[in-house]
Amino acid sequence: MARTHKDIFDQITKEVQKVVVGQDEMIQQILISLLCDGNALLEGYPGLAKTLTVNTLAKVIDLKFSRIQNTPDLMPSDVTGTYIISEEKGRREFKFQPGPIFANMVLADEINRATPKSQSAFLEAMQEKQVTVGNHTYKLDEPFFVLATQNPIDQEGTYPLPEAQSDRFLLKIKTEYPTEEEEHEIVKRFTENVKLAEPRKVLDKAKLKHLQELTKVMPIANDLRKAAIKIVIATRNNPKLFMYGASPRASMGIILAAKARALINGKNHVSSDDIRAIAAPVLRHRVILSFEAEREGLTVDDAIKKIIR
Amino acid sequence: MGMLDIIKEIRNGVYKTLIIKAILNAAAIYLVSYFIFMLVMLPAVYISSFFAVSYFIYEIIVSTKKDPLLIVEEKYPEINEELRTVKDNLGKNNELMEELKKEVTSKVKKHVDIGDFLDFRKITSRVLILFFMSFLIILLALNIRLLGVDDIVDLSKDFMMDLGSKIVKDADEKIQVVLGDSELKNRFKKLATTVGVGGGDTESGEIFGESEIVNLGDNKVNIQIKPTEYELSIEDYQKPEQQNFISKSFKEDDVFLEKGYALEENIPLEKQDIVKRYFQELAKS
Repeated sequence: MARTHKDIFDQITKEVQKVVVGQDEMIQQILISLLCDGNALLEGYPGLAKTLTVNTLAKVIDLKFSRIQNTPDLMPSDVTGTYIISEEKGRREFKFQPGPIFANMVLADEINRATPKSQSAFLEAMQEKQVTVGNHTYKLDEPFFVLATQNPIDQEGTYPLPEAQSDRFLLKIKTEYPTEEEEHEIVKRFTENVKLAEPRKVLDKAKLKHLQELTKVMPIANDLRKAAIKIVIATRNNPKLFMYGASPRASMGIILAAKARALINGKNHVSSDDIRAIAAPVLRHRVILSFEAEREGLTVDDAIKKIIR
Repeated sequence: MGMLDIIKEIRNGVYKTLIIKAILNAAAIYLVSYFIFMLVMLPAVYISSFFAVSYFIYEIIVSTKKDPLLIVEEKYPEINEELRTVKDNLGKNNELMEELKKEVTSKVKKHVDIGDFLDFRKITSRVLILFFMSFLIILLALNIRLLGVDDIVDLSKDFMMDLGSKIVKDADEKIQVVLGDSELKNRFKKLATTVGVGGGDTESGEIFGESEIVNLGDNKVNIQIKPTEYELSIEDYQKPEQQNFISKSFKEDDVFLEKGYALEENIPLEKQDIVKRYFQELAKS
């Protein structure tokens, strides 16, 4: 059974990699977010196929996809939708025009370029899976994910995500530079007159829903659950490394993400490897490094590795 | 057999092996401490029993602190974390759990053998210790002395002496063969003169001492130690010598008079005259 699930995820990865070269880790972590019914923040330098990956994934999974390009002049109503005057049978009335957030998979590109006001428009959608416009609250279609991207450089005129908002992302996925071989393949694929194979749909809503349910029932040993919680608590009790530690939402995130990773890897139980592998993506946007750690030249990932050891 | 039964069986098996190990260790401690306390004449039974029981309890507490399933998982990496996961999620029924149960059951049947937890090397060494210590204790209890410390010292002394004399004799013979007896003697004489040592007459350069004394070794020597006389002879009696105590050698402080109160009697005044006369008459007669 677990093998069958692994086959599905292998197939998804294969289809995405028809377009995107490499980035296995990023693809796997995006899938983990989808299985956990969570949102992901993709961070990496420009040109590392963040947007392309999310675009392609939306095609592979039969979900309604929309893209919001965040800019400083983006208004919340541009995200959530607004009331427009419509005229029907000679009668004028306000009618709600849903914004791009009304989709299953929303790509919020360069989210840190939007103003905090617009960023907060995503908050309710991400956490409550609903949008309030005026006096009305509209339920979003499930499954609903926000996959946001941001660049770590070129911070001029950007609005770093507030803590409350970044905590709502299950994972912060780091995109890495491709290897030399991968870069050769990228150059070859996109500079020659080669027609790229169109990725085919592998997963639909129903299947995805079933996999999400399976993720939740993935068995985990009590010892491992305790270990995951200890990791999160260690971020709060380690002033030499962290100024602010992670919230209990991180504990839930680690357990759930580890379960999803186990399912993707075709296992029928969570292992300590799953927890170790997923701890950094779950914690890195939820903690703030201490001055001492920064002075020592540690990155957030280094500090997390230290507490996992 | 259900998963619960398998887990119970594994647990019991591990506990049994832990108890066996603890018993063997405690027995070894008992015998070793019994032997030591027997040597120093302390109440060995009570003290060593105390040590052994304390150790047994300590080992049982320490070893049972660790989850037996964890011990099994450490031994068999094939079921690492799986056994504990099944145990912790036994009440849950879903397709993943069912699959995990089946997988773990087959792996346990295939790999796990409780006998693997008994380290036969360690057990053999413990049993040998037990035998050896029991043997020593029996010997000590029956006061059988196979080889005492004095015997060992004497034996080694004799051995060293024999070895030394043999080496000297061999060397002497070889030198005699090469140089001849007189040549050897002359050489030793020269050496002794140079160094200035040697027994006997060093002035003459003779390092072997007096030749007469050397020759004594061949003769039987009768040595009689003079016995001490304790008997008194009456013939040796002499009259005591008169001593004149009035001598100038006495100092004034050495001569003094003291009234003797011991003979003083408590005679009433009116009868003192009668007593006086009685003694005067007595003196006349």
